[in-house]
Amino acid sequence: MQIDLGAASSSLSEAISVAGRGLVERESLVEMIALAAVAREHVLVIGPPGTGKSEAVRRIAVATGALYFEYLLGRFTEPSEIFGPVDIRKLKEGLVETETSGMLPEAEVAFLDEVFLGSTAILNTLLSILNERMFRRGHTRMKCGLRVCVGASNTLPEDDSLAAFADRFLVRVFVDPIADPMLERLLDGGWTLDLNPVTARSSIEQIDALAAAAVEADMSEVRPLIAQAVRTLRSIGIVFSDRRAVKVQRLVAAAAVLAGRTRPGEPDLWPLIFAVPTRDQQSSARDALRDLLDRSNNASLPAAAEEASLGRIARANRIAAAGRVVLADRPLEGGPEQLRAWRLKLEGVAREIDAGFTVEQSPADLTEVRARIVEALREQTAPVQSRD
Amino acid sequence: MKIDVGWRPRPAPLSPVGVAATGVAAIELGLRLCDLDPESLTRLKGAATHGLLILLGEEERLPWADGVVYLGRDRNAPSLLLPTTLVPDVPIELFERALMARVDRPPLAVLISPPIIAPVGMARRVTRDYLMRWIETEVGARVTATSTSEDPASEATESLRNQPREG
Repeated sequence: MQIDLGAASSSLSEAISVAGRGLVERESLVEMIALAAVAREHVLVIGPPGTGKSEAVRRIAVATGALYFEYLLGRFTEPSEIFGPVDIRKLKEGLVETETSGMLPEAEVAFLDEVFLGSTAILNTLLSILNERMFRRGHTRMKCGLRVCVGASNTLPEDDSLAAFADRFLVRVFVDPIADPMLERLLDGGWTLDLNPVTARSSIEQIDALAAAAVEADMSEVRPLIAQAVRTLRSIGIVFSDRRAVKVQRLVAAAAVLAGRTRPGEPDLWPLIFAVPTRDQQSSARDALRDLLDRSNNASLPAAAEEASLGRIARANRIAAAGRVVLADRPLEGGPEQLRAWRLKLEGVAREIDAGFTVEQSPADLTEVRARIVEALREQTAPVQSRD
Repeated sequence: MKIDVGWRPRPAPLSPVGVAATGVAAIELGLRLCDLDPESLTRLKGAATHGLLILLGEEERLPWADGVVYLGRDRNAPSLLLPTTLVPDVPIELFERALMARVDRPPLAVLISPPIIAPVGMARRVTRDYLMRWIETEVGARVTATSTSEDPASEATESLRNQPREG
């Protein structure tokens, strides 16, 4: 069945949106997991416990209708807990095969918490799944349908052998506990998470269609820009391996497809930042590539594009999209408290616009959203002056 | 020696730590503050004088009104609160030093239009009573004034005094 790419992209965009609802400052992580799934790459999330990592993965898995597997690894975790038990019936026949039903080899999205605590046996088997989508254990040889594996850890490993394993996770996302000013939003969002369960808005088939389109993308325009960016990163001492340089093209191509472009260009370079291995290096990379990434733009992945590039256009798109959502969310019923809360949200968007853009810098979309916000606020208060 | 300072857009905006307003926008901002609940008011500090209102607080707590200017700190000029979207076209460290040589009471809020440098180190907790009195004074002044030759508050500010709330 032919899948319409525009519809697939819209569906995945909707899935990302509902998956991120109720999460605070995890929108970027949700978007990068979706991007990695389309790019057929894996994500490593670094951050302390209790920072919403597993919730973000779980929600995007549900929103995309994916078969999901999640496990918290420990030093004594047995391979059978991840890959499945040995099939006793086959064992009686002298074959060591694994019963994989419901386990990682059959998952389409997987989350492995404390991934570096896994034993050598687990990590070696995982390596094959991550690299080749092949599960090999004993006599079992099985192709895996894994679209994206998300590994999590408190810190990056220092051990060389673990660092080599970590390098299989192309995308690196670093998360922190929510800052104090955002605590009310966190409490509100966390409270309503169960009240607004995620439902599937996209499908694995649609992700696969987007992935196939990404492979076919015309990289001729963007390839020299990627090379330029990698040279720049290496010149400032950022270790960007040949493998990463080659694989990052998949992220760029996937970003372009999700933005509705068959020919990736300058607006699609921003995923490069997420392929830089460490947090400090990602920060240096943003500074070094600021001019190259200034035109970054992705309507399906606005938070990630903005976080990666700190670009004006990406920021404007994200704020404009947020403003439209709030404007559309005007309470039709309910009393003054609901209206007051809505007003505060509108003012929050207006504050972000005015604090982030001069009148001359503000793109047309954003200016239009601002005008609508001012009009909506004016309806509730005394007339206000025009900004110009 | 006098050097003209121009301003250009910042590549990336500063995070807001304050908001300032002059003229009608200042009155609008003050009225908006009066709508806030008492707990939200306690999270803000303020300084005001004729035609000028400046508030300091966490970004999420800063109110909005049309025409306000958000202020942030550049790490290379920590004594200044600058418009979040603009940067001076002279080395900012020298800009800070020049301003501090004239008004050595950091931090200094710097507004461009109208040009104002206001020390806000004495900013105090915002109270509704003082806000109302300030608004009444401002509205009254605007109604009766035909023109003014004074720069609203080029150097001096008056802190919002911590008056006990009635009732």
